[in-house]
Amino acid sequence: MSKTILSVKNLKKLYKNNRGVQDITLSLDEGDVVGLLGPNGSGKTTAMKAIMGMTSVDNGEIRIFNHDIDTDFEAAIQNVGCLIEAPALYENMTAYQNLKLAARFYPNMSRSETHDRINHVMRLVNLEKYANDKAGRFSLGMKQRLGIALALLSCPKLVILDEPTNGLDIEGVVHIRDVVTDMAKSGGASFLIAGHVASELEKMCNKAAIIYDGQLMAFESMDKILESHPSLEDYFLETVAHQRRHVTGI
Amino acid sequence: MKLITANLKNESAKIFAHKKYIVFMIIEVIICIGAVCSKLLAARLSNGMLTMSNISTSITMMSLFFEAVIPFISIMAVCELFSAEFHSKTIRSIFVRPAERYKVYIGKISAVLILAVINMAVVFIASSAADFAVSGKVVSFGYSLSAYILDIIPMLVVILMAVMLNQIVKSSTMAMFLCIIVYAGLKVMGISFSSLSGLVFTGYMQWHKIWLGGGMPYLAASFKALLLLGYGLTFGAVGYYIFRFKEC
Repeated sequence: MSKTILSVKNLKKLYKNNRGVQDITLSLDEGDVVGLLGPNGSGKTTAMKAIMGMTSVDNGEIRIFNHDIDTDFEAAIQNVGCLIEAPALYENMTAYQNLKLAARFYPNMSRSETHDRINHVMRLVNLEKYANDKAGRFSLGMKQRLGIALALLSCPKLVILDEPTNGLDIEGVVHIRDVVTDMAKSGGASFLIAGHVASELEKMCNKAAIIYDGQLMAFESMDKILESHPSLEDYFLETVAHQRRHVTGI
Repeated sequence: MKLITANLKNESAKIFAHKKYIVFMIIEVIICIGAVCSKLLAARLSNGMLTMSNISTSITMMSLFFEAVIPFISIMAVCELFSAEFHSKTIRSIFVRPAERYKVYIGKISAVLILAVINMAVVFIASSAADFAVSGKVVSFGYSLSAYILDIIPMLVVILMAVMLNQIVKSSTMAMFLCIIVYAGLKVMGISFSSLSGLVFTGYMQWHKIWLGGGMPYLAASFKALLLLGYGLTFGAVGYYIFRFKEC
């Protein structure tokens, strides 16, 4: 039986404008690659921010590796890497320095391990040539790659990525997809990946969660989805159309 | 403790990635050398009538640096580490790491305090060295050193005030403006209203005068120490409360 890595129960977070998420319940097992599919403004980023403890929640329980994110933050987040919205980079510092700042939060890594690990993640995202260039001079795609490198730096067992292929060219998209698939298969890492491009998530994920208007519409394995539908996109459209009919009564 | 140290190193690295803080220190050295040169020049022009060889430059420099320059530099660093990070959302890179917010908060404040102490040390060393180079002696070295060490405490209170104000506003420019206005306002208030001067913490930027003056007024000194402690705890606690729940 696979181990539950992330468990979200009845998550509710509403902003002043009444947007946000409510009644989100999902769980992620070891080795899972879960795609969180939804249109812009559906609540994907809010859900991810709540999971990472970046925002307070109105209701619900979030546990990562069986540690409550609210009461046991450090233990919960110890083996988690994430990239939410745009990469948070210090633009007046080099790519290497940005990674080094992040590495200091993992005191168990020795100096040589840190150096090796930084070089490894730089190679993984094809940025090794630009290690000593300032992040402010990077293109959008390069910044995104550096953001992914920051998320993978600590050898996380759970990786949360919000639209990770934003700003990447076709080769970059394929490359990041391969990195995710390899890490999930060989490294045993689990991924929660948000996106609004169904075809992309279909290729990467073994489970899909449909989020619409702040609510979780469906959470299903990719095999089951593709048994009954030609693609994840069709499944998404059908689920959303069903919800609209339910709301409008037409 | 390891995470506070790690964060302190990170915040210090961020501060010194800005070259302006090095430039400020160079300017401080130039001002100290200039002050000693002007002292020498005054003595020469007056044919020895005006002699200031028994006045310590490091002490005379304190009014300028401890009342205005170093608080300004510290406020600038606070704005960069707090409101500017929230504004540019780079604070996320810290909040997604396994460190409780109070550790992040302490790390940031410590980094700014270290910057202030380094600036104080630069002024002290530069003025003492310039004094020694010109007159071959350093006047009241022990007194000056004690004064510089004692004045770290009111500087910490100013830093904590700036940190608290930084939690209220979103823009770093606005935060900088607000901190300067409040600091300058309190200074002016302390000077203009004598009844308030003893209660406003900005009046104690050179509180070494209370401790190192002739005849130690124990009761008054303890009262001032408690007053500064009260201000420091209030600013620190209110600032942390807002920082703890701030979203990014």
